[in-house]
Amino acid sequence: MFLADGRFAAAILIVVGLAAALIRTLGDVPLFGGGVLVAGCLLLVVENVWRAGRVAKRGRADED
Amino acid sequence: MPGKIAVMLTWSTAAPAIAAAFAASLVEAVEAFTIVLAVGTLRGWRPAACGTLAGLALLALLVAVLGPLLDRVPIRVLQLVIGILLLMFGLGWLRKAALRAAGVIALHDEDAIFAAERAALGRVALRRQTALDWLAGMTVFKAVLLEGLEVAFIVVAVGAGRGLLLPASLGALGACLIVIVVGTILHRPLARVPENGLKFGVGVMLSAFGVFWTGEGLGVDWPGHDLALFPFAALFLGAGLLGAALARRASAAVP
Repeated sequence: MFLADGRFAAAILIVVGLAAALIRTLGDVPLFGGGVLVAGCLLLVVENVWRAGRVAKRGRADED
Repeated sequence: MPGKIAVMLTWSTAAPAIAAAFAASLVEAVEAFTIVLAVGTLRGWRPAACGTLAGLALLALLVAVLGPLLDRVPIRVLQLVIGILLLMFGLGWLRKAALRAAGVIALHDEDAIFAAERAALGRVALRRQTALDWLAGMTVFKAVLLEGLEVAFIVVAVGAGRGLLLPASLGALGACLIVIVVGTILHRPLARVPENGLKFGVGVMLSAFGVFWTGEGLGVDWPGHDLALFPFAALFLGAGLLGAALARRASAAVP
């Protein structure tokens, strides 16, 4: 349910960890860490889907 | 006027939770219904009904026992843990829905799943006639339990700690009832339900809830509080559509 793609799940945890570290470090401006959390999750989705498209194309090229 | 504003703010808070619970439950209920229908038409409605009731009973027991335990967990910890789980669940659904929209992976085909489930049960029927009703019932039991657990998680995740468990539960119940009624009338797999579109929307909403709760659990005070869910949802919708467009172009490009 949650760990269908282990690497994707691990990447999410890394983004959350990074945001948590930033919030802890920049105690006065937690919103900056919040921004990193949002931006990190958005980039994760776009990059992962885009990369899957390129891998799919490479897979079809190998079959030809 | 203050009363009207309070009602509007209450609806702006409750509407995303109800919508997320309804849409997610619709998808899960359709998947469970496909299995129930396959078993029911092949082996009869008695094992299908028994498996369904057993799955629902165990689900109710789990919710009744574990639900009150949530009140004992400190709210920040609850927000953070549920937020992270929602992020994994929501981003996972969004990612898969975007890949299906891009044509990188195949769309979920309820007709094909129905046929495969019937074929699997049919093959076993040739080997073990006497145990088949039990097997059929267990198949339905597992499907109802697994899909039901996902519904229960989503209802708890979007509603707990904010006084929205009842609206979210009603949203989920409404979705399940619609699937049962429509499915019973049509008496075939609900293949026309725009499942990938629903999963895309649910992935967007759960990702928005996930980032909202994770942030709150980490101590972020989001501007606009609950209203921040709407721009988050818009951002994740944009990210999913952008990813799908890029993947479609990448997978179709001529070498």
